[in-house]
Amino acid sequence: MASKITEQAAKEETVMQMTPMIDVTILLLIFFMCSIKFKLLDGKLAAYLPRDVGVNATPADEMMEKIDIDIKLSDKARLGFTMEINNKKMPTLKRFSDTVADYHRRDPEAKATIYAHKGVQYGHVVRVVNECLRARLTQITFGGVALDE
Amino acid sequence: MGKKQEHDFELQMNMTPMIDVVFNLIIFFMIVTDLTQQELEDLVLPKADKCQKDENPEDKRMIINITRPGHYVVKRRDCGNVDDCIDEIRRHLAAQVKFFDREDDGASKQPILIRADSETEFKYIQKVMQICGEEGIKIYKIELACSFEEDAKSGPPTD
Repeated sequence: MASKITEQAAKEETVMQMTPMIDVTILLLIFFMCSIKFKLLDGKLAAYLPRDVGVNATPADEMMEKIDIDIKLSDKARLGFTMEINNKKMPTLKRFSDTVADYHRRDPEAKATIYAHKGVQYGHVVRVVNECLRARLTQITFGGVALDE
Repeated sequence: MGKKQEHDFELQMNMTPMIDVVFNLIIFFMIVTDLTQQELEDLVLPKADKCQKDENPEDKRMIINITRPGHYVVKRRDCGNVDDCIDEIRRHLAAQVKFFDREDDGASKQPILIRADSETEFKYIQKVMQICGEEGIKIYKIELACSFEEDAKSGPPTD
């Protein structure tokens, strides 16, 4: 009896069921095709480095309104940092943004130079750059601060 | 007679080439996905509501990652702390900038994208910027990576 069953089994052709595998592979393919679009970076803020320093120095335009922004680390400030525009302390981000907007209104070609002092973090600088852009000031450069200050 | 024989055949679709193609496509997408991720280190980017979408970035644009402890990472290669590998960064930037297009004054036409963690000290980025402005490198266009503020309408806190 047992030998009959094995003979029968040997006679039967074993067929691999491919349908689920094809389903899975196609699903995987669709997943990769879709996910590949989301691998891009979220956003960026444009800025420039000053060209009027170093070996190939070009004279800076004296007529242009100059906005020097100092970012200093402060434990007392709610934001964790303080901002100064041309050595004038800005108590809030709103005030900062309004002042920058005033400068920009007076001179649309105005350039801002950001000086980040010791301990200031990348997030703080991005926040200040964001406020400058909010005030429609797009000409933003970075100044060098003594790194071991 | 001939017609009868034709009916005896069972029509079967040959799936092997299709499976081959599908597998090749999966491998292709897996590799491409990995390559696109290679330049982007896992960082917590600062949020900003005025940032532009990074769509259609310029060709040859270089992406530099600076981690929270100040490590310089390019294409998953960690060069170490910025303070300790100034020369290596200089060499790396000088080598990369050779492929960039130049303006009349020798400045690079391509920008450089700096990605840093929100809590990375800015002095590390400043040092990289300093090297970017050096003779022989001259990258003046900088892009600062950030992520979109979720609640843009309300805006950031005012103080």
